[in-house]
Amino acid sequence: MSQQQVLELAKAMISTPETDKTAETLSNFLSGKNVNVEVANYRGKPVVLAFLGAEEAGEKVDVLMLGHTDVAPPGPEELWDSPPFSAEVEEGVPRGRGASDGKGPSASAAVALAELAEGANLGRSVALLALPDAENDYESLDAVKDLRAESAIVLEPTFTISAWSAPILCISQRGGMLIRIVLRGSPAHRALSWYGENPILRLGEVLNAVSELWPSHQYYPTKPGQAQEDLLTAFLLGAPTPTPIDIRTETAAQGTPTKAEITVYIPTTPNREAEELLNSLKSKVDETNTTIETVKTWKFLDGNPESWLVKALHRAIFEVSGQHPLYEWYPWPTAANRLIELGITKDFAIFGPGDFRLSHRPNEYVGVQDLAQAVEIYKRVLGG
Amino acid sequence: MYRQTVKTVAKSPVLEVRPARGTGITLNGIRASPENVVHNLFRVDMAWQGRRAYICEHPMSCLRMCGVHDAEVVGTRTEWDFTRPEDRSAYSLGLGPDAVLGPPDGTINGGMVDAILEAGIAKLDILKEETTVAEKVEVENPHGRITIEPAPEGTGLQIYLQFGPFSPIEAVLDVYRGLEPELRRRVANATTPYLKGFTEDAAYHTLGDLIGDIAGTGGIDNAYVKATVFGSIHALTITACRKAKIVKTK
Repeated sequence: MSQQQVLELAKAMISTPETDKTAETLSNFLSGKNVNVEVANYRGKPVVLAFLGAEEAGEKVDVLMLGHTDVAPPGPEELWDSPPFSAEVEEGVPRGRGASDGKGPSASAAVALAELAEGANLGRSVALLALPDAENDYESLDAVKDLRAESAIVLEPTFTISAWSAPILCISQRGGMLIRIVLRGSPAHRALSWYGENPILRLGEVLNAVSELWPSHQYYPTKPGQAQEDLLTAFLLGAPTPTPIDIRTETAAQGTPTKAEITVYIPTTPNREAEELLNSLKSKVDETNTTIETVKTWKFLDGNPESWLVKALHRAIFEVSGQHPLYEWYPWPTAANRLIELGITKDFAIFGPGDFRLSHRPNEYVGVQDLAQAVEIYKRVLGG
Repeated sequence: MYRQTVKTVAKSPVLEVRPARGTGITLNGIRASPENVVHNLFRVDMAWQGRRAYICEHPMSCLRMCGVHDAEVVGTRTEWDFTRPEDRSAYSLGLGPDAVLGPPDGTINGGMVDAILEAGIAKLDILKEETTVAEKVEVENPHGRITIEPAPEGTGLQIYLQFGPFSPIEAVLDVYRGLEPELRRRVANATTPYLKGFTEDAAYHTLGDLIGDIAGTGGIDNAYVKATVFGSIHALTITACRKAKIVKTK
């Protein structure tokens, strides 16, 4: 029953890139199952909020389940084996953008709520929140900032059933920082460039310095291409690798550039925080005509391994999958940062069907069995 | 024959092996046993009453390859290395780096075999009751296939290991002498397939893992073991040990 229901809902959600349509599909499904649903508006985008076991929206709930309805852009379509929003099911595996990162986990949570609303024992009050802007740092949480919850399950992909992987439960997540490095030059005609100073030529030096922030590990793969895909499961996160994500230049017609600007994302860990990394970078780069600044930081977050939520999730994962969960850090900052900043909750865990390694890549998928088992796990946690 | 322990404390860069009397092998205070295993895919982790030990197969293997039956293994690392998945897990659970018992280089040894041999092996005045399996145990899963068959006292573990496409390895683990020294050196210094992939060297590492799991964690002294491995050895060995009924050798 759960399996068919969650497959249908996940397919319907995956089959559109629009957050409006995804939110409508989700809210229609929940209201059709006697779950109270409100759809708030945040800057023209829908914020779906469903309640079960709570009398009204202002009441503090035991568990907040937080997912998202938006997805990363699919990228070049030719890299996909089937169109990214076709929601094709091959051998029981729905494929498409958001199957694992966003829509699959939210679909499992919604079906768990629906089944609990239809008569299964509900031991805890719960709110399900689906935001339209996970890929934009969850700003829409402002629309529900008065919401309060004892604990939150962040619905992100961690749980894949296969002989080659173990269920993962994340109660910590890596921090991160975005830094911008601006190199200024002096213009000249491009045919006589030696009369000027071309900042693009200094990018190599800067990128080398950036890559040295997390030096190569003696034993574990730290550089792209070093890790073998089939063995990567053992490392999951690999080493925190600084990643250039954007580069811009300012160049006048027929001139050499006057400015080169590069933005880099750097994961942070408890023993290497943002400030230390920034100072380290500054010490490696010649700062003449160069500005290095932090654009944004996300704190490393620690959950509480002794909380009832973590214990309940551990127990439910073991009962349903037959395996104890592996405790791993979530690779990037999730909604948990904003939930804590806004005082919505203090306690969190990250758990959902799918595989975070598939996020933002072509041919994203989620196993039907993973979706169905996640429904069962959520039901056991919420059933008390 | 008598149970054996280390004569004095053996120290490697990541752990200490302390003498013990008749207690079997404990890892960070956890009795080595298949029932205490909480993960057996990428490594063998054990947990009991809030304590936890990661990569237990490596110290177990070193001890049994040296013929040690009783020892207290205690992690001693103080620095985190968050590149390692087991360090991240330990940190999440509020533990210290000393919860991780395997060396960072992906070998079984990490200086441990040398440290144990340097400390010396001591015979205790406690008779060892040798064990075997009550009947043939067979496990087949996507990682391969393993059979463990009963064997009489004095057999030790007679192992036939086919790892991926590489030539089969045959070895005998004596209950008291452990593994023959040259083979022991090769096994102890072989690197895990999780770091280097499926190589011939990894086949020897897998033999060490098998010894750690079956003789160490499983507590099986005498048996004929045949394993064909395409993936994780621990997914085969620990499952087999859980399934096995262990009895005194006749």
